[in-house]
Amino acid sequence: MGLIESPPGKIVSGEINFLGKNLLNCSEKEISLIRGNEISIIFQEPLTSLNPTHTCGSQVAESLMIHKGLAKKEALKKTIELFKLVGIPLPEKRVNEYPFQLSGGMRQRVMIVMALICKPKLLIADEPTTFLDVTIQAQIIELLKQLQKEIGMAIIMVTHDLALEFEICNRIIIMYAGQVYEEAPHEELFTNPLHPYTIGLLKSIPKITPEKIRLSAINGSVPNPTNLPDGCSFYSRCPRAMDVCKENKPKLFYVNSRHSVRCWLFKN
Amino acid sequence: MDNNPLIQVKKLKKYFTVRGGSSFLHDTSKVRAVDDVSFDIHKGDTLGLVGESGCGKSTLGRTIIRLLEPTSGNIFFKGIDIATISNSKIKETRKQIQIIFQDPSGSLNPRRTIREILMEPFIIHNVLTPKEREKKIKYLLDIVGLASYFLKRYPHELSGGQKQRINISRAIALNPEFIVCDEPVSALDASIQAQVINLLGDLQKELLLTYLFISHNLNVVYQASNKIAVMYLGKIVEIADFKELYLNPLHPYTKALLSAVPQIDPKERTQRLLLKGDVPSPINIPSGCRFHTRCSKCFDKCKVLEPPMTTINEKHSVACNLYFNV
Repeated sequence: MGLIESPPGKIVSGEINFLGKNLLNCSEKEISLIRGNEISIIFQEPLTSLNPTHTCGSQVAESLMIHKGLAKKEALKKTIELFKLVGIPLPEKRVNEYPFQLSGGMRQRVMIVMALICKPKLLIADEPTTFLDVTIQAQIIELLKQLQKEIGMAIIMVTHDLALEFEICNRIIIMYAGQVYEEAPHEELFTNPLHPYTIGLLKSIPKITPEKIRLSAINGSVPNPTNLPDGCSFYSRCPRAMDVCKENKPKLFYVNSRHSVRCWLFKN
Repeated sequence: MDNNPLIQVKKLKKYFTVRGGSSFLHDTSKVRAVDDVSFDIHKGDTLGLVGESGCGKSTLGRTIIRLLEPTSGNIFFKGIDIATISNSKIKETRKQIQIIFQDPSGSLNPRRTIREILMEPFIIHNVLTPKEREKKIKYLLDIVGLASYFLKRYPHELSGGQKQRINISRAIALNPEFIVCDEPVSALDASIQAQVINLLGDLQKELLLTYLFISHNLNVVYQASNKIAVMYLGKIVEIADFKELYLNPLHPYTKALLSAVPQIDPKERTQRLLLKGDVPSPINIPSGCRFHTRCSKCFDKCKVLEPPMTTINEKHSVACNLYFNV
């Protein structure tokens, strides 16, 4: 989305191909037409993502006016319809309220409206329910699924909640220390996890089961990103570490067309 | 062997008075954060307390150890009502009752070394000789799996998981009997949560500790507790042994909570029971059963009658009009 400031952030190499076009080669003007329109984003903390000095309605209407060229009155009317669509009660009242007057769940619904107003092809959801209670999370997730079906958009869901990912996503990427460590369809990742980190994660997550099982924890902690080891970043915590792992960074190996893993154990 | 509970909470209330904020133009309103709560915890047990934002669980935890003054009710610790004893007697009790907070950094003075932080309980309560204190803090680090070189470090040099281990060390320094764990793993990464949950369980067995384990995360509470109380808007709506709660949840809110928790294993997933709307404000608690505004099973009685706790069996009680017959 081009939201990380440069400096200190910098894209060093690689491509971001969206609908066949490399976004890194686009001008700022071209990107701004895509941002919020074809690619949209929902952030983790709606209170800090919404402007506290503007009403919720005006923030949503702004997107309609910029990207769809609607006049202010029309945009506000459409906003009320959209608030109703996402289950915000008393939408005519809510459009005139400020973000701090709404609950967390309601604010996140406003974010969703803002993100989906232009029917984007891709939605990036960055920890969209982390700060919400679990019953509100359930409402928001059902809403996203329903809207996804109606609009036909792709979603990249970023979350630390592995269980949530398994429920919603059909493909899952496990990241560690800035790299993709494993990628697979969700059923395959569940029945056949390969990377020791993925296996460790799955065993360490508390579950509600009739008999209690002692959690299997991963020893140690995540390495400092400014001081990554020479070899595999997971080496010091890995129960299956080998000599080759210490000095050599593993490549991404494909075990089948849909399942890849960054681990020397799976070198073809 | 004493079969009396270690902790007995009876009809505990904690109200806060706030100015304004009411739609009825009153000058002050009452936030009924904890509204008539009763339960027992036996020695060696862990009572899990689960509920969503605003349910009062953290307030309950803090009131039990008198970080907050109760509005009314009793808190019996080993038979003595600590709700009303003097401040000097409370200080003595603090050796036996401790708390671990959610934010690992917030509880550690950033300007003190770990050694100084761990020494503090002994200094405050004036116990142990200097030699004994040195020996004890080494033991405290060791028992939570940290090397002795951490003593020289400052909190900012430690990871979240390491900081929480220091908080646990400090909490067990004076050999307490009861510890309130207030969201002890919520601020930690998934892979570290498991380490700390396991550590708390191991320490409980080794040091014969009793816990009140508070969390909004049902998975974590379930893992850590043998008995679970579900809270909603200041009241306990259901309390049961963990297995009983899993196999036979009764309160519609408990069922909604259980169904809302995402499950990795597709076989464990059940039909989502979606609740209507948001949690009401604790300033404006609904009449009758406070859950009735969101309950799919609500009938007329629920709007007017607040159901009391009904005993279903020795392991299970629920406060719901579906199970209460006058």
